[in-house]
Amino acid sequence: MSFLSLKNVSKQYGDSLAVQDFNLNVEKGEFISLLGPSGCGKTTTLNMIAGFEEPTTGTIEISGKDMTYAAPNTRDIGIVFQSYALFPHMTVAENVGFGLEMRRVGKEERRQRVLETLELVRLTQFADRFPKALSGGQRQRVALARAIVIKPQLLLLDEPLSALDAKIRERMQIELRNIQHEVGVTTILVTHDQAEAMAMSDRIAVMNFGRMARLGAPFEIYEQPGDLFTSNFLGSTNMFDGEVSEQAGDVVMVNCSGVELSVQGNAAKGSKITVGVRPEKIALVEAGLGLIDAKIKTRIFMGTRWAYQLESSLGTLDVTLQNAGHEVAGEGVIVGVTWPRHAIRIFAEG
Amino acid sequence: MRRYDKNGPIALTFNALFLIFILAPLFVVCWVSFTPEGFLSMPTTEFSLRWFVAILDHPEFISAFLFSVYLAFGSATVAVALAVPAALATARYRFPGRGMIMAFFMSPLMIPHVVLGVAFLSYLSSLGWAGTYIGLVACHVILIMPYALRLVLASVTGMDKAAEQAARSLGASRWTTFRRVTIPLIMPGVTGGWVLAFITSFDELTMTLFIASPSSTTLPVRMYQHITENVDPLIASVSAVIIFITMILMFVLDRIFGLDKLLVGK
Ligand SMILES: Nc1ncnc2c1ncn2[C@@H]1O[C@H](COP(=O)(O)OP(=O)(O)OP(=O)(O)O)[C@@H](O)[C@H]1O
Ligand SMILES: [Mg+2]
Repeated sequence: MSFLSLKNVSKQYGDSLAVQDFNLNVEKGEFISLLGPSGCGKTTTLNMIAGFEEPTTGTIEISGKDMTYAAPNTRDIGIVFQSYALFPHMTVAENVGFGLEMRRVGKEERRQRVLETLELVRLTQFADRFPKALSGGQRQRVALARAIVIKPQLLLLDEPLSALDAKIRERMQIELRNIQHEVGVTTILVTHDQAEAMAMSDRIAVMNFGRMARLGAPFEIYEQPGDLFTSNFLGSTNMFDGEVSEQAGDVVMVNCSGVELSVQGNAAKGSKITVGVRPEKIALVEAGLGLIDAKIKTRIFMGTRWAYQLESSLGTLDVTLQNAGHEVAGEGVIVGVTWPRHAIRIFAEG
Repeated sequence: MRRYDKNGPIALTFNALFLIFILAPLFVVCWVSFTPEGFLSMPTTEFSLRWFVAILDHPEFISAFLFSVYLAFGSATVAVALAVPAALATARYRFPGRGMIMAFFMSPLMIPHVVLGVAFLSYLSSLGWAGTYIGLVACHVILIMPYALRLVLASVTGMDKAAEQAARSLGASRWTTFRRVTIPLIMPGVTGGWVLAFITSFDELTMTLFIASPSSTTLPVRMYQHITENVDPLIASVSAVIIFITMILMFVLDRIFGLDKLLVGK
């Protein structure tokens, strides 16, 4: 039995469906990300788990108990809001202690636990400050401390890092992950940043238009995205439309704009399919030695890597190469393009 | 280099004229109150406190003042107590009749006070509440409701709803959340609304003229009755005292809350 299960959960606002037929099982101690573009229903899903919204249909179970309509204050869930939602009229210590006070924890124990938690998020010296006098990153840690001090059975994070700049964000990602490991609390993180989701989660649920598009471990769904949306959302993909010209075992030959590509997978001969390969799976070789030849249109240096755009008979190709410390082929040069056969995947048929 | 953060001569003149226009009447009233004469005049050579002493011979002014404070206090408190749930309901929920309720609470702003006075008089008489404290409070509450509601509403709509959700998720009941989070967060609007409602009630004359009785006479009504009968500087000295008290109150409020913030509900 899973710790948290959402069963066929849907939420309707007027006549628009914010969440449709959502199914998710979360195991105890797991770190799950809800990943998807703006407006796909992530916050709505979180609000239903927290009890701020009631599902139109479906059930939500926590530890096997039906909690679909339970009041928010009976769910024992810690939440970090996107806006942090700190209490501006209370000090940091009072903010963090609020949940304990509600649980009627005695004064001395309360002080002790607040102190411990502030230590965990390294904010001890700010205990008596008001939220107004804190930086964005510090507020975020207060919000986190306030949510975990009650030792909730479930921690919900709604884009907690989106207000921070890139540097602090990366540091906070690591910190958040460490704290989650230390406390061992089951966590659901909402984000629209695929790098963040992949860096932090045990599993990622990719959402699109209120539906679950893909669920799986970061590496698994990155390598086997299953559909075009997931593939594009997790990273860019070079797409080619083609027709299956031959099928032999689990390898098919696909004719894309006159180029024969061999692809692993199953598809009926004569059917029209889309295949895709990620930019970092492509290698550049000498002209004539690759699968096809292509001309370098642009080359951009990005520090850790080179980003190329190539012109080929397959259309425009995006390619990224690791920066290994030496100069690489420049604009205008004709190069050969190749990739391992398992790197190219079949997406849509039709 | 021209400085754009300074007022130019024309702007300065305009501001000065504007301030004079507003303050001159107050200044004149205070000046007149120091006259030694028995009629309204501007003292030039001789100043006297006789009309301030005279207030003590007219205890009806003092009791009217106290009654006005008592009435304004009760009315402002009731008005704010009603404005908070009304503002929360209309700002948070969409329900049928929502627009009508708002229009209803705001409508006293648009009806002439004379009309309200006549209407309330006949209404209170039929209830048997004419001239009673409760009757006066009820009428003043209706009149000052728009002022209270405006400021409370401003702070409710500006409030972060997530703070309440956070409190709920941390285990607070609805009532505790309201008490510990909602109220403190909308407190500026509540205080500002209360002060504005108090001032409006204290100042009200037209409507109160109709519904006040000899045992429930407010200060504006008492002053009005006095000048319809005799024109002496007593009215000036009473006004001067009120101006003085108001100035002290303003000073204190400004020290505690900041007047500019208080009167916009921030
Ligand atoms: N209270 C509401 N009334 C009507 N529609 C709503 C309401 N709340 C959300 N929606 C709609 O439901 C859909 C999902 O909203 P939601 O807030 O869950 O998106 P999200 O995935 O969290 O997006 P973002 O990344 O921008 O925060 C949106 O189309 C939104 O317009
Ligand atoms: Mg959201």
